[in-house]
Amino acid sequence: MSEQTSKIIEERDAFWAKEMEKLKAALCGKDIRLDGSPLINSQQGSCSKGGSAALRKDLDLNEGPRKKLKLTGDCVDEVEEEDHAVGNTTQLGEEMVKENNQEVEKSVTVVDEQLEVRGLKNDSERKLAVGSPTNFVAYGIVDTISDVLHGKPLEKENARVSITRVIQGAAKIPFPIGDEIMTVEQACGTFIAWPRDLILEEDSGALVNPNVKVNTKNAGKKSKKLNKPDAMVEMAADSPPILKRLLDWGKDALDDDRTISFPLCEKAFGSNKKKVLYLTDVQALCCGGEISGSIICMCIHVLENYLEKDKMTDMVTFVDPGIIGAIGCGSVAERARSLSARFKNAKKGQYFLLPYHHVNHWALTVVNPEAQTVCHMDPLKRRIASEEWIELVDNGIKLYKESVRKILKKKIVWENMAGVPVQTGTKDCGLFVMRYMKEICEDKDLNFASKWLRRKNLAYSVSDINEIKVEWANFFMKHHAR
Amino acid sequence: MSGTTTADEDKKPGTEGGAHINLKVKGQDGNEVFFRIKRNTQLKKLMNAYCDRQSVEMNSIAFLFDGRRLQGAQTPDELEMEDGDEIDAMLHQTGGGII
Repeated sequence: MSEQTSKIIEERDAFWAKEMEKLKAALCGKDIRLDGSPLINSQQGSCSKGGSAALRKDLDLNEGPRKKLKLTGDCVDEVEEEDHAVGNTTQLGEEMVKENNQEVEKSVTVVDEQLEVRGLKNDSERKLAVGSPTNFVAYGIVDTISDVLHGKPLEKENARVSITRVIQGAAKIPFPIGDEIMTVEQACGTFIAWPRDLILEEDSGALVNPNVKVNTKNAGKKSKKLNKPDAMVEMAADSPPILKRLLDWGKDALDDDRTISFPLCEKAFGSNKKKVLYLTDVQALCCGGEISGSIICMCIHVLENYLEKDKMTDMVTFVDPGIIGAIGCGSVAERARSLSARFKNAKKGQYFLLPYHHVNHWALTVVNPEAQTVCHMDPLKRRIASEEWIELVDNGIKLYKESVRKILKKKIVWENMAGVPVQTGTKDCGLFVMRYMKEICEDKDLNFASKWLRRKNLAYSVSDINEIKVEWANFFMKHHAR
Repeated sequence: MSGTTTADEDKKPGTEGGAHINLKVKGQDGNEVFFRIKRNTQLKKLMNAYCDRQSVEMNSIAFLFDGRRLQGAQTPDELEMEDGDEIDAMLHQTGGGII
């Protein structure tokens, strides 16, 4: 009996040792695969590099006690542990992670209810200070759902926050992410770490007691808040009738979280990726909210129609904002590669219009990869967006030139179009970018650079902007509204 | 002995199917991430875990199930999700300008 038992044990050990090797090999393979995926590792460069992110196989991302987090570090050990005590997997509280050998390729993350919140309540805005507790630079929401920031465990004395309102946009944040997100303004739209002793109650200015236990049910409020755009005002009374029709259609057809999806036009974007529109997007367009990437893509479909009519498709074409944006589109290198792939088959003199999404803001960049010229149009008329964006576009052009074995001229010329009409509201940069694109597409001589290079006090009237909306609505109601 | 325990333990995840559910979140690049979550757990847990993996804020990604946008407070039970169901993660870029 005991002989039999030890034999069985021996056999099993040999089997698991073999499995271990497989697992290790598979994990290494996975590293590379994940590293190459455009969605992982945003350009912020703060995400743990490939390896650990990928290995973080069963990291319990809840805000459990810190000891859970140490599991994330050394995945190989962890795998071993699981294998040798099959089924008796790493027990996290009442949680159990299942990791079958067949699932090595996949990564399973366990998400589960409840936890003890380390400190701060998560449902209301706090004042965030820098230096001294009285020097407020922003309002933010403390996030207690996770203990991990961009793939790295958070220090105990810091909290994970997202900025909701900026007070001093240029103020330096306490923990910059790479050299890209350094100021309060740049940090909008991502999570950053903030020292707990510089997070203050909004009303009293008192420090937040770090030992409050909070029911996470409150967190539901927050996610709802995130999904509802702040100012959902009714449409202006003098709005064009088609917009009213569009809004009515949206309220009816997109109610109850329903969505409408459409494929990108292959001719305009060189891709037929799926895009989705939500009720909030339609409301934003009609009532003046933040314009989404899908709205801009649909607008490009309208423009592509004009270009076809005017036989200008060889002169102007577009790039999907979803492959080049600063958030959620991959690392700089990955985005540069996507961009160069898009430049493939560029005609001589062809301009590519790139709606660029950068931290809650839209700008337009026009690239002529053959001539190696770039024009940048920012509705806020700031200087050319960021070093990172310049690097990305430059690399995109260089990679393209190399791929077609063309000689790269020494310099890629960037020009800031300081003369474009400046956005008037706080939320209409998307509309202005659409309007710029329209003007470029309507000009058969493509003289936009000479028109906008110097400051001229050009401005758009309400009807200029409404024109864009009306064309969008007409096109959409005709082709997509069922 | 240990052999039999293994078999028992192996079965366990299967028989537990009532309480937990395996869900697949598919990104726009075709990348898939698998989650195991309790049927009565709010989906914001899953969303948050996914967003943290991608280093993006929750409102930069919209989660779709059966063509509908998911709300964080919903649970798999409410939505009658089944084991192995797929959730689409769509990039949601919105921009206004100055705040």
